[in-house]
Amino acid sequence: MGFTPLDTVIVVCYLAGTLAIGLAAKRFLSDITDFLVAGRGLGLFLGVATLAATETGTVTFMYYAQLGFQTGFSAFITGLISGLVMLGVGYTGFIIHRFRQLELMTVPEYFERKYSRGLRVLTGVLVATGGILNMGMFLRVEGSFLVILTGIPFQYLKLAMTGILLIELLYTVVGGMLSIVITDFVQYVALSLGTIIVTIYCVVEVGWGHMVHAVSAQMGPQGFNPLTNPTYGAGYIVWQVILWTAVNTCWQTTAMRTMSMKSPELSKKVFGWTGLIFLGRGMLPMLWGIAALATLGPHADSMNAMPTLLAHLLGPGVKGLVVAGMLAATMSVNSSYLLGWSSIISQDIIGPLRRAPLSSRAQIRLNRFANVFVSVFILWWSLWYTLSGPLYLYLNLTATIFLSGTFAAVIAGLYWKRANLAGGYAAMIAGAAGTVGYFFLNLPATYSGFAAFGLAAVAMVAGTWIGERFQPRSEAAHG
Amino acid sequence: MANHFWLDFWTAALILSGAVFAGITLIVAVRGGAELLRMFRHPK
Repeated sequence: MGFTPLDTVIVVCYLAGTLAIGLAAKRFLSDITDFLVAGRGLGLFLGVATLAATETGTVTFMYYAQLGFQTGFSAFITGLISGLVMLGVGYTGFIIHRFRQLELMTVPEYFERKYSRGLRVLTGVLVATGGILNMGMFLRVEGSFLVILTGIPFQYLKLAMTGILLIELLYTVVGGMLSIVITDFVQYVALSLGTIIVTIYCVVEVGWGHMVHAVSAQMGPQGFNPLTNPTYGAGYIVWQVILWTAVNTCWQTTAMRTMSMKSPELSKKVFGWTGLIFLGRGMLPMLWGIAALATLGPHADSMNAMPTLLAHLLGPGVKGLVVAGMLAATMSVNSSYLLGWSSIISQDIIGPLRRAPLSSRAQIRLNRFANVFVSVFILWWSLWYTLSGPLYLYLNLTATIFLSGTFAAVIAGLYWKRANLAGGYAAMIAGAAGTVGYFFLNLPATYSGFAAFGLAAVAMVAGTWIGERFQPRSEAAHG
Repeated sequence: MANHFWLDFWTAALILSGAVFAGITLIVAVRGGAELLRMFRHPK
């Protein structure tokens, strides 16, 4: 069934409405704190909406559906870990409570407070590199989803994706975090409704029994038991727990939400609620992937199977609602990521390298310029780069370029009095080096991910120990 | 059958997570909407 005029009207109304709301937020913008962390004024439920919307994009649905298609019900372990780890972070306040108390705007800013300006700049460079490479695959995947679901010829879709990127850029540049928070709320509701609608369609139209039978027939016990599935196993589970703890605490866009809350206690509550959402955010799209396996068979393209199923399954009007929901997801993620990575470039790389501090207005201007630079780069990267392995692992490993070192240096800085500058530098460099195995030596993602986090932790301790030998104790830690 | 434990486990996890997802969507839509209106009515 094609994309009807009713579907088109729904999507156009949604896009126009979101743009109007984003632009309306401009009158509330007064300084750089408003622009980057919404004036630190977010309450519990807006905080939950904006955190969930920021971390749930079309790309999320695509990579989780691909895991469900390839590994059946065993894939659910990944969704379960992401939700439970976030609940744990919310319950304990691990890192996020201290971060909010320190009133930071970016994660690398902590490195200047605890270690040095030079380490802040190095961290900023690694965070921006990993983050922008990570985001670089979004447009291509989102493009595939929309092409298949709407039936638009590919050459027009590139144009459409560029248009969407321009709309995101417009209201991110104009309104900053305040406009993102407001549109995130609308987008959270739209993407959640889309998720619920698609899940109901899959269960009713494809059938639970059909899905269980398909996984059992194609994969046997490995389709149900993650411990015996070769993609997962005990090592994968441990690595994912470490990775998700790092993502939930040190990932720039997530940390910006922590820093936007009214109080440290509220940050913990927001993480607890969002952790519950993350259980469904992981498992429901995986179920769509399993439904696609049951309907299309194992020889379909794993990445495109889910949108192909939806194109056949959804009727007129519903398809428009789902596309609007997915566009909502796309725009909330991309706009927040644009702001997140460009704020690193402006606040943590260019800003600290200047001799005289910039005024608040100049910082906003610099951030807008960085927004445009990041947008142009990801558009070019998404058209140029060809993905060779599973998308989920590419995203994990690009994140690990900076998360491994950042995680080690942040934990040591917050909870270990002896942590010093030499340890911080060693952790950042060793963590980034650990990902080389995946990108250049074709090492399995689990090994490379483990290596990066392990090397960063060892380098943090060893670097601190060596640093103490060459530096008087009084100068070793000044944070 | 060896798969029974895991199938039952994932079925329960899916039903619970789906119900929680839908419930929180409803709560956040209502309460978050109220917070947003307060922000619009009382700008800094």
